[in-house]
Amino acid sequence: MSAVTAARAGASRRAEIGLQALRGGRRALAIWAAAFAGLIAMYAAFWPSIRDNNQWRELFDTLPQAYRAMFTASGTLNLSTPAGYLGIELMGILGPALIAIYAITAGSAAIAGEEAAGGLEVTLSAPISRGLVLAQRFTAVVVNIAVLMTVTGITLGIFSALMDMRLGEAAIASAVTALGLFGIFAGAVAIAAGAATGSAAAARGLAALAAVASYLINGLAQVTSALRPVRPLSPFYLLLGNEPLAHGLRVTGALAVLAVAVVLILCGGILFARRDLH
Amino acid sequence: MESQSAVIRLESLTKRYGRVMALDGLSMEVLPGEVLGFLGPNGAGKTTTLRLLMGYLRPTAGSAQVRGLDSWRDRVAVHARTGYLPGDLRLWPRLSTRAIAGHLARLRGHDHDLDTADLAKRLDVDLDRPVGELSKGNRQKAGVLLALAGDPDVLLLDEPTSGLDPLVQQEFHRVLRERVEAGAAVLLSSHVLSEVERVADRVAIIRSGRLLMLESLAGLRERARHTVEVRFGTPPPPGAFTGVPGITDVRLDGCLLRCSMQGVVDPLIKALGKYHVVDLNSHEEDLEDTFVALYGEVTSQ
Repeated sequence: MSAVTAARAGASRRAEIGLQALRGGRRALAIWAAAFAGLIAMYAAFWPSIRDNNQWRELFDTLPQAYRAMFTASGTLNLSTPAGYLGIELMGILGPALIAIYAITAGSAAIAGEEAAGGLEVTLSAPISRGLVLAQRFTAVVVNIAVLMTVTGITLGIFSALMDMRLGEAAIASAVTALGLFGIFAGAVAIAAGAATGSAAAARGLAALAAVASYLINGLAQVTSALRPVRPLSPFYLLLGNEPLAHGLRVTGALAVLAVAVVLILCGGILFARRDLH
Repeated sequence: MESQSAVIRLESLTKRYGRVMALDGLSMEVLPGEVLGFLGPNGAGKTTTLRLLMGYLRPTAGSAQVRGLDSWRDRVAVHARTGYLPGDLRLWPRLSTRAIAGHLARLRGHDHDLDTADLAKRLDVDLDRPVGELSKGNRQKAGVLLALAGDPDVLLLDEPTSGLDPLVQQEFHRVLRERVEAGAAVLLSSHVLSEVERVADRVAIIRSGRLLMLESLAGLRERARHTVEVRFGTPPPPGAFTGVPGITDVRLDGCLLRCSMQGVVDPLIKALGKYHVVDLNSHEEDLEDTFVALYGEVTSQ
């Protein structure tokens, strides 16, 4: 065997856990991709009627600030532009919620779920460290989220052209990147908590709590001055608080959330390597 | 026993869960080229021992080693040459045995399709059906195949033949013997002595996390009790056979003596010589009874 093929075999051996995770998750991924594309299509189909109806905006403007804060990431609203409209509908709640649900489901299954199902004992009978298994399963979740967000972005681009929404490519890329990073954050909490504790229920619970808390902190900080100082700690705020579809991705915030996700995975890996398997 | 050459070594291995002592200072060794039968009732600590050897659990005290490598700290290196069958085998239901074997082979960095095909033939494993569709026995066969694939020289097998039909069991034992003759070390747990009797060179018996005894199968057979029945021409006096070494459960009923005998026959023969013996019958109780007697209680099976 030549050095090159040996190195390639070594690389594919080390990536086998991740590749296996991707192979196993294909069916679920296809269903989720269809759901995201369908969601975009539905919102795009409603756009002409929203655009031509000023009463919507007037109605929204009469709502209390607290209420508006819960529906939009930034609290401001411009229903007369596609970015403003999708900012509420897609980026405000449903988009982040769906990607978080996907990430938490996949993340809690990655270690703790498989451990409860018994397969982890078989996987770990191979000569591969627990940390490497964790890292590859996390990478697989990240790759799947990237695929989902790419499909979402492409669908958004297509419907933007069809419905004359004039969303820029950069705006679309910013929006799906922000959504994807929010999913990566929630997924990292789920994987790390599952790896550290071995409980899929704890993984799901903690990750859902983190996602909901980051959403609530962002929303409530707009109406409660007491929460204002902690708003920058909310990944929801850092990623979606400036309406990335309208104003682009805040790179510092995005990198901060990504760093938090990586630190969570590292901590989860350390605790995973030191605990008993169930 | 030469400690240097031991492949598997447990040194005062202890595992405690809160107040529950799962394993209490277990020490034993498995040499290359031998099958150590690991016997005990359910809950005795057999599975805990094997999982400690795989580095899935951290010992509370003591150590488990495979080829001089610590099972907890060097678990990746330990796994490189170890085949493992979990006691509670649960495979990915949607994957076929072939797919799982391929996955594990790739993780081990080698390709052993030929090996898998050969084992599948011998153990009669359906390689292409999803394991979720297999019966419990067929799934167990798949698990045995996965543990043996890649020709590991250390085998940790937790109740390997549970659910296997006798023909497959026989073939499995043949495969094991071949591996052992090639130098592999096997630790095979079971709660049924008759299985261990067929493949093991030595037997370790544990109960409540402690080693009860560890000896060769021949030694265990020596411990096996014989039931002796003697018929006399005239009734010997009562109490004539009490206190004969090795003799227990003496029942003298007129001309008929019934007793249990363990160890050397000589004292009984000498004692019988004083009387007119018409007929003598002796048969070995099977090891299962010996095993149960050693436990001092009936096992769960």
